[in-house]
Amino acid sequence: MLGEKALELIKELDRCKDGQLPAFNEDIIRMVLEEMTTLFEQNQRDVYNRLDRIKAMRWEFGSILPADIRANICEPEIQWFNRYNKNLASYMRSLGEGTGLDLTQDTKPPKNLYVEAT
Amino acid sequence: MSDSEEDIIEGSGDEGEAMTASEVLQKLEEAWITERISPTLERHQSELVDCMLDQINQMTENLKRCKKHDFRLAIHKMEIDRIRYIISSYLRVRLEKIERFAHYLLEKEANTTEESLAVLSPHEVAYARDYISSLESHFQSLVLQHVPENLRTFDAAKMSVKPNMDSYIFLRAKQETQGVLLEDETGEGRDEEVDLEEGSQHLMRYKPISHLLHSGAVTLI
Repeated sequence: MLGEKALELIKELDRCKDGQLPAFNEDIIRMVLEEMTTLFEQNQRDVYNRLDRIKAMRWEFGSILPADIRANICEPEIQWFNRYNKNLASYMRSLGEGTGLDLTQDTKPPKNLYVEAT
Repeated sequence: MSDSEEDIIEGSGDEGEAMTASEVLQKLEEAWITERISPTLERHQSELVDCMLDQINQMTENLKRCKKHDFRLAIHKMEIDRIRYIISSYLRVRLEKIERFAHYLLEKEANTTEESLAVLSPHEVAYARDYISSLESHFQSLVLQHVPENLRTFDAAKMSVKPNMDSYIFLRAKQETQGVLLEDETGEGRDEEVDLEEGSQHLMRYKPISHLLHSGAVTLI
């Protein structure tokens, strides 16, 4: 259970009579800090994964996100999306010495001109 | 129209090597295949890309002028589409890797002084920098402000990824190559040296042959 160790520390303190302190529980404190770090790293990964998905949206839906997706992303994520969009557009414009190329087009090889009839 | 493809269109100043449009396209195709297979980002080919984009624009202009025969028009249009697809795919693959390995690539680039060894084009460098910066700001505003002191440093190193140079790739030796050193992966010192015959095909780790790839001795397949 999350936060179990931290709860232990609090209970330990609570059990003592007023004014008294239990021994400084280095082991449990260390475990709690480790748990915090793990949770934080997991959180970072999740934030990062969300951004990855939002990024994929740019490539799939274009620079305007469908309403149902917009409903599920927070304001900072929208700002990140806009910035990503701007950065991408800037790069695409620079291609071909300024002529520009839209990399979100031509995602599939051109179809064959002739269809084989048997 | 086929005549113009044999015209010399690309002259690489320093090397004095001029190439026809079809040669440029062939090199670009090879770069595209290599980029798709290689576990890391290969050296940029912006000259080839710029050249072919210019070619496409010229071809498109030419097509507009000749309103003849539907048949010829369709074939040339398909060729244009095909070239544009290759260029787009090539640049997309690069962007994907740039985003994935941004931190690692920028660090490496900072330590590269020779322009001919540059992996990222100047515009790709700008892209990578802004991409990383956007991630940092995002994490800053979303997470780090609300988190206790002990967790506050944004560990860029943790979020960044390095390409796996030990990935296996298929290659073909374009010329006879002797003495390729393969280090013993288990670290027991049983290194091997192999000779590659011209035209032979092999499955190997990327790392030992990357220098051969850059010299043109082998090609990825």
